Amino acid sequence: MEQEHLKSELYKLFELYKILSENILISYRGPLDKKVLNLLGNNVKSLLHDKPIIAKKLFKIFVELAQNIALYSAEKQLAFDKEMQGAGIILVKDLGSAYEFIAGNYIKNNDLRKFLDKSSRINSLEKDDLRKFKREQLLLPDGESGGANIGLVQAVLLSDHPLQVHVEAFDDHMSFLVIGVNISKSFEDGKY
Amino acid sequence: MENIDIKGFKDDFFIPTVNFSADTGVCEISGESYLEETIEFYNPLIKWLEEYTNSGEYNKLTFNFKLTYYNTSSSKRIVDILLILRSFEESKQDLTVNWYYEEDDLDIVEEVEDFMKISKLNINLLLF
Repeated sequence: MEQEHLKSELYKLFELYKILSENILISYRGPLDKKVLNLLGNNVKSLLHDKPIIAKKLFKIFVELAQNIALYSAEKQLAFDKEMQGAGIILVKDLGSAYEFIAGNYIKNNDLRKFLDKSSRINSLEKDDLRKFKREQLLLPDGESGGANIGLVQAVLLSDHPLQVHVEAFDDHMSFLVIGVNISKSFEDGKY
Repeated sequence: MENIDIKGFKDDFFIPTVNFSADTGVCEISGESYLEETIEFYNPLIKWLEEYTNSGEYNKLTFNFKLTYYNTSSSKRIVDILLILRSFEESKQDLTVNWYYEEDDLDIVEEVEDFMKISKLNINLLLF
């Protein structure tokens, strides 16, 4: 019985491994402490070293969204620095004509409505209005209206794409939130 | 006034290199600034600038931003710095603000435009 259970677990792991191998440049699941941020950030830079414009954009988006997870994820894990850090999943995919950056983490259902309002507001703004919104946010004292605002605005400005937001219900208290950001490879042609 | 010299590093976290000199009136922040919590690191720098600009002893200041990477939490502290520089300039003092950027980094050019709008300061954009 135990043997069979183990066998099916191992099979599931292989399925997961295959999923994480499809066009994936970077995958990570766990706490987003500084060590991990540094390691993954350097990976982003070196994997895309021949595409400096995209590497820079992707790195900046990575830092904003990874720090969002570190600060706001409803799931905390013991990290390298022996402190509890927000945990989640980070993926970088090569979609052919674009790279996709994906960040996923648990969010308290109480915070979900606020987040969805923020993200749909950000997605509704044209570039000039988005920059104006960012300027207003930069002048707010820390902690006001939720720090995650500017990071999301920054991700949209850098990628020139709206945030893709997906929410999966988990239980009465938490949901799983996925944010996707696309970075077109045409940035490297200097066409923007 | 004591000068500030901080050597940046990016092992566990990314702090910029800082050189503030009361002797020369040249202040410089360079490298990468990717702290999650920026207050602790930037507060002494902001205090130093307030002291320098309010002391009445100094009438000249050149501020060089040479940051290649910074996150939006650091952007908030950059705004704090620019607002201090703005009030220094308003008191008829001699202020120069330079921002160095890499040629292909158009995102930074837009950000500096936004920093100018926020602070109402003229910032010279210069290539590294």
